[in-house]
Amino acid sequence: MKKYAVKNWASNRVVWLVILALGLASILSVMSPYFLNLTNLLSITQFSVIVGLLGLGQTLVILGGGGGIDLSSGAILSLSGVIMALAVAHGLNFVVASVMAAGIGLALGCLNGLLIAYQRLPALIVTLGTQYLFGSIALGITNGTPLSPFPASFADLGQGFLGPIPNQVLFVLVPIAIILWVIMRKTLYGQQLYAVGTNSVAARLVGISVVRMRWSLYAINGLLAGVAAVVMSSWLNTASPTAGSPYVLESITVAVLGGTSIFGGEGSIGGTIMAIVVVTILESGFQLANINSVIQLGTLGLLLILSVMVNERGRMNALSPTRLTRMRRDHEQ
Amino acid sequence: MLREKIGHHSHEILLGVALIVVTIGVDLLRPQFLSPANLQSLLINGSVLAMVSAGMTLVILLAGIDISVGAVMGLVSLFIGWGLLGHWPLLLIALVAVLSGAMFGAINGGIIYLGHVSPIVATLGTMSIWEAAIFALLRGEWLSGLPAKFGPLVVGGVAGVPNIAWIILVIYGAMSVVLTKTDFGRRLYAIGNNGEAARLMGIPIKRTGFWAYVVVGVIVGLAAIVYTTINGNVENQVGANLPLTAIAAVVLGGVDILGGAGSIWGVLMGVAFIVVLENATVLLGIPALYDQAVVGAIILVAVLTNSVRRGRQNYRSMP
Repeated sequence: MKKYAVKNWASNRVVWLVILALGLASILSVMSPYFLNLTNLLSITQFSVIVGLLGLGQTLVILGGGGGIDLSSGAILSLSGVIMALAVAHGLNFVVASVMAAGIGLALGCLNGLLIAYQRLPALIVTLGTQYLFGSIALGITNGTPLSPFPASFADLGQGFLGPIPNQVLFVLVPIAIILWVIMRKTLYGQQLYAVGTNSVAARLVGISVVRMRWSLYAINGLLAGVAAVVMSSWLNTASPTAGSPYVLESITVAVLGGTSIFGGEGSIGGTIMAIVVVTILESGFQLANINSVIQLGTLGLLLILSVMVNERGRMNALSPTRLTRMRRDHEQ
Repeated sequence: MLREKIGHHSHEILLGVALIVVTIGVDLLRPQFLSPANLQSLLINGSVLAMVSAGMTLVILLAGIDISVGAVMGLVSLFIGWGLLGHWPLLLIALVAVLSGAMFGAINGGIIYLGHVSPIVATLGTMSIWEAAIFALLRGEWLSGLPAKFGPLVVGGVAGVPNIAWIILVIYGAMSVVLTKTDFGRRLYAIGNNGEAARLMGIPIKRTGFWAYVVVGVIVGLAAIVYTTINGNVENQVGANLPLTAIAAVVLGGVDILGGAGSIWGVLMGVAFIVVLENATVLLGIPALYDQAVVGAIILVAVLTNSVRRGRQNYRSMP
């Protein structure tokens, strides 16, 4: 009995992530005496909001199975951000513009979901296409230059603090993470999501609408990207047409590092949140050491590959033909 | 019999008609489009895409994908650039290009088949790693003023037809033979079509898949030689849009993105279509910032028509 408990504990992804986070934090505190200071720790959480929102959305999309992935969420962020900035530049109130940005994100996510779930097109190729479509439109309507028409009060959300805690963490990331956690753990929708991700044929046979479920996941992911666009515009006081592009890789890394199986059905919001903590600590370390963001992305790439290798070990062979066939059938049913 | 044959190649025929219509349309609007000089530059500038798409076809046929082709081409271009500036013998440079390409392909194949990582995640990861390596090695600067020592092979030619056009025809011809006449090629189709059945038939899935990624690496290495010759420099962002455009060409050419179906000649037509369309946007004065929107839209239209076609065929074959 006790032996099993230890084994479960050791195989728990969240426990490993906590150990990893503590390890990274101790390396960083050796590197810089300022790191292990509560104010600093709370203030670096501001780097977690964008990757957190996109990572949580990506987790849902991947959990839904059927080869689900969204490569376009970064481009959705960019496009809804610049449309919002253009609207503000033309005199629209920034609160209304923010709601509009979230709505645009939702609409673009719905478009992805429509093509993927209803038309049964492969998610990878659809979102690869829409990534370039949305990203290019964002570049086109801004002529490739960042816009910053925002009034000073708009910066409160992204740059303000309540006590030592950044507003964007307290009022955006934490509430959304809690809502998603509750949805996944306590509601029928969450249970159905796991069912669809684990075995979509069985889910359909018990009366769950697989198509509508997957469609909703892309819609939620788009909405979160739209919210991320608002936070980012406020945080940096600019909307750049390429703002979201580095975050695609990060969002997938965070989801997979958090224990989400790329084949769907396995993973949790809690795991993703722990992965966000690890990636944020890593990122602040890179900034402390003044290392370029391209190198940072390279490290994340390495982390991504390693974490999938660990994820798929001991499970059914990820590339066993059965898995491939299952994914194929998923698309064709 | 004839009807069956037409049905089998309906995608290629449709694409051919579309290609002719677009060509005539652009030529009517901008008469310089079909001038010998423009056609020559289309052939030369489309050559890198044509080569990389041929490689991409292999892995998509077996239900895989390679997002890292652009970054691999960038890294190999960097090695070639050092070789050219260091006056290495040309044969050595070519050897370095092919071998390093093969090595990067083997790394992808190894991660996918030994590490059990799905192809999209594995190559997305290696892409960012190689991009970081390029950045670190270039230190943010460009490698420029590369001597075009491979020039005669690429841009040189007889009667206005650049040699690279023949090289590409040879590559596609060889690929066609490999895909239709050899065990390796047929195994790719079998694995992509139904992995379970392929395994039960005793097809060595991991070995076949691994070598497919190595071949992609070799072809990308060769493409890097062409790229450095045409461009004469290696910049930080080298090859950034290449994976998307190559996937677009392959899917547009009628290859099923889920693997198992498609022909290499269709891919060549897909490449031609994209090259013509990109040139058309330039000639028609559409801002370059929208280039990628065009390619993105092409991908979506291509997968939509593919799926509609496939759906109808499935329906027909039902009892």
